[in-house]
Amino acid sequence: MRRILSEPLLHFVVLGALLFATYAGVSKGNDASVQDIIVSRGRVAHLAGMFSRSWRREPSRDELNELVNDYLREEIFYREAKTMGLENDDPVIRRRLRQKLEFLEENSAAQRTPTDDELNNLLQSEPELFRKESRYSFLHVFLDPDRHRDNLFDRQASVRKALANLNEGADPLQWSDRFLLSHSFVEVPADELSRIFGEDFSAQLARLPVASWEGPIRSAYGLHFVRLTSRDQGQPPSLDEARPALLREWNERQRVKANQEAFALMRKRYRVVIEQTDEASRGDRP
Amino acid sequence: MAHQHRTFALVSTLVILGVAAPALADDTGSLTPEKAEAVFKKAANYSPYADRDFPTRPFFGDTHLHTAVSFDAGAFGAHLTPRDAYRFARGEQITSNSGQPVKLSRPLDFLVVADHSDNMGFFPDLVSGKPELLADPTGRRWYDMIQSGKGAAAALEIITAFSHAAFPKDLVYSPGTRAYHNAWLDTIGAAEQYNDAGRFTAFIGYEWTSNTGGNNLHRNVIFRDNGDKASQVEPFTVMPPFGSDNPVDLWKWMENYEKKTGGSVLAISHNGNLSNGLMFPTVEAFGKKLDREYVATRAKWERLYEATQTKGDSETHPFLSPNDEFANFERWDKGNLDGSVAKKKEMLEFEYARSALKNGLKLEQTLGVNPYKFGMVGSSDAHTGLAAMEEENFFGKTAPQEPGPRRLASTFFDNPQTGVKVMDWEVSASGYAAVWAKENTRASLWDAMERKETYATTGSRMIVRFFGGWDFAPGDADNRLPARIGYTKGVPMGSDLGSAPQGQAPTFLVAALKDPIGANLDRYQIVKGWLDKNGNAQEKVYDVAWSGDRKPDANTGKLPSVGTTVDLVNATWANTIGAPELISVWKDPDFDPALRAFYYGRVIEIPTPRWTAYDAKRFGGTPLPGTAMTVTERAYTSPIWYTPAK
Repeated sequence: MRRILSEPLLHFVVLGALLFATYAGVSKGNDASVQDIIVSRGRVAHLAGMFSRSWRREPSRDELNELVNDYLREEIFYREAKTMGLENDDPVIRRRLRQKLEFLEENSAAQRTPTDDELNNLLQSEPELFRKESRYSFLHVFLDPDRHRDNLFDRQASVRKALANLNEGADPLQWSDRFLLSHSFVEVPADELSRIFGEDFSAQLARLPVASWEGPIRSAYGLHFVRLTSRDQGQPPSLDEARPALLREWNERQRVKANQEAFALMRKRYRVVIEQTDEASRGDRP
Repeated sequence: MAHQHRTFALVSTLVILGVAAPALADDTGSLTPEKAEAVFKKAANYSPYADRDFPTRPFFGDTHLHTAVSFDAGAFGAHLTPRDAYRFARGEQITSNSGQPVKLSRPLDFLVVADHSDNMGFFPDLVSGKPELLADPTGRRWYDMIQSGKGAAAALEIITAFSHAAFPKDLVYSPGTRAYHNAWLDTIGAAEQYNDAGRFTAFIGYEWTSNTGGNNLHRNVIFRDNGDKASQVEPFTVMPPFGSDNPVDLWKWMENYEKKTGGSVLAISHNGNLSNGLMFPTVEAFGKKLDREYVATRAKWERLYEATQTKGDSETHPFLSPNDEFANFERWDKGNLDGSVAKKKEMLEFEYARSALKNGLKLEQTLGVNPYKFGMVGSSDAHTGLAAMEEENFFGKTAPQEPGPRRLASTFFDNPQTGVKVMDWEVSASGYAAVWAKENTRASLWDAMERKETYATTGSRMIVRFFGGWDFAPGDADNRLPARIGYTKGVPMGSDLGSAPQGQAPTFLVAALKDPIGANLDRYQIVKGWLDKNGNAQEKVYDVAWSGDRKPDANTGKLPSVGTTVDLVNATWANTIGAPELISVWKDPDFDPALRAFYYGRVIEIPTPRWTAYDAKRFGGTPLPGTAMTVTERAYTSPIWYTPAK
């Protein structure tokens, strides 16, 4: 039965019958009543304005006539369709109206400018959200496991030794295998390092001492001897530093809050009865 | 508010100036050992230089995402807004349209919310009416309510009042105009709010959705500019009388925008595969014979092509490329966008990127300009506000296709009259746009798109380099930092080779690095297209780098398959085959300096489970017969063109 109910053809037939019935009903009594449609000067000016905004020129007389006729057509269809109740139970129209109202609520509520105190409270209550990311500067010597498949361990030992005994001015990268990205990174946020090297690379960096050759640490590509030149462990930002992010977050929360509150207010106007369904169909619910 | 804007602008400026910008310094390696030594002495390694003169990593993003502001997305039940979309792309966890928590494995670097310009927004004229409302005592009261935290109650009152006042006939200026304008301003506002120079770029953009007869001629328009310029115009629409379905009129709109504001825009077309032979015309378009003006204008505005997305892949088609064993990929070739007209084979040539690149060479020969000299990007075209295109984290194309036990067996559309039926499983978890820019800002990313230094991926974040030149040598592939050699001795993807030195053939430095959390790479191929002596377009696919010690077949020249490690039952794979990195120098063995040609890179991953496999594993149930369960993710680079000297 459910299958039949969801059959588009059935919808079509039922809808058609309904439409016919409604239309017959509407037209029977009301032949004499004629409605007014007044296309005001303002409306015409608006139509012309829209045209010139797209086309960057005024519409010609014919084009303007066309615009007015098209508007008229739309208005008549709109009124007739509404009279027939075609908007009822149309999911697209229902969703559209819901969106419209939600948008209006959010937009009306989000107008207020937060005070510094409010922003500060937000900053204090969730410092992690606004903490500046750790940043790392380092040079790395890459060991490609594919290239040293049979002697990776030896290679690792010899590179470690070479880097430990590096002469002043000697090029540490002479020990590095080819690496498609960079060998030197400057003040790169931890998050970006994860995107470049794979997930826990920056966590490993966090544990290394600064200014000496360390490692190797592991990435998605292989092994890396690393010399950190600086490590900036994300400090809590000042109010001014965090202001753009705070404003963004504050506005967003206001929007969400407004939507919830507005719904709660509207919800109070309704008494809702949800009829109990049988066991089987309840189990079917998502 | 003005003050806040200024503060924000100041912070942004500082970031752009590099005060707080994350910087990836380029490597200190260089052409000669002597030079390298000198460089290292100077740098002393403690303060590696931040300046660099070429892009060192690609930025990944989506140039084509719809939100609830798009009429069709909203109608399908999407309620995520542009702001939600930017938050999600920045890496935040949000709640999806179907109420599920969702987060990306890692943030994207940029996003264009490209909602349909026709019917954009549903936002009546409240914001602009507000000053008047606030002038009277009631308005004052609302204002006070808002200030004292009763915003929601005030909002309801305002809306009620507004709608009562607005419904009758005294709509002197229809809400149409201002409503539309407000929707556009809100879209701009969302991008301005989330644009974060150096960290995340939120582009302003829209989709112009020409769809006459169900034939997909859609274009996304992307602004280089900030809201001050973009808000001076409204998006160009399709519906007459205010819009047009002819791309020529869109290009006029773009021209006008640049003239009026001094700003910059570019267009990206997509889904030629659903245009039923109309996307890349060679004879006439909209009843007008192609002429020099058409081809030149198209080349000027349409810099990129979206070669892969949720509604299928548009690189090439097995009918057009019968010798290309990887051509049959995420194919959508049953009909046009709404399935109202079934596909005929003769349409295909005018729908796919590769054949368009070939026909472009022909048109250049006859009309003097190549209209199809485009670069490549991939993007999602998701209508959910969620650029979630990872196979194991795929949130579908529309809200009803968000993860759930039914999507493996549901129908995407079905047109019984034409017999065109597409199932939900055919929707691709694809793709992203990779952009080789120097920094993550609107200007830098846009400029890279304009010069076509981009590549398309089907959702993977592999890193792909493609350089062309006349004297790359095999040793260049062993350089510690291939990119520097690439930019020094050649040109990057999206460029022109320039004229051929006597007796030399083009050489290419190609390199690819797997997605750090993704699958290994199978092979790097170069696709060459050219016009032969008789003016006929030809194509050939060369394997130029591959994993392991596979040898091409002596007779066919074909490289054996890399194999597969996919375990469909558990939806897993292993990186025990393939290579994390591919790099090589290749020289065109069949070069004729008298013939026009283009070359682009294609990188293929080893097989991995497709989103359908993850669904089958997570929700149980049996997929429909014929459901594709594995995928070979791939990347397409923008081409490098060769044009003979006159």
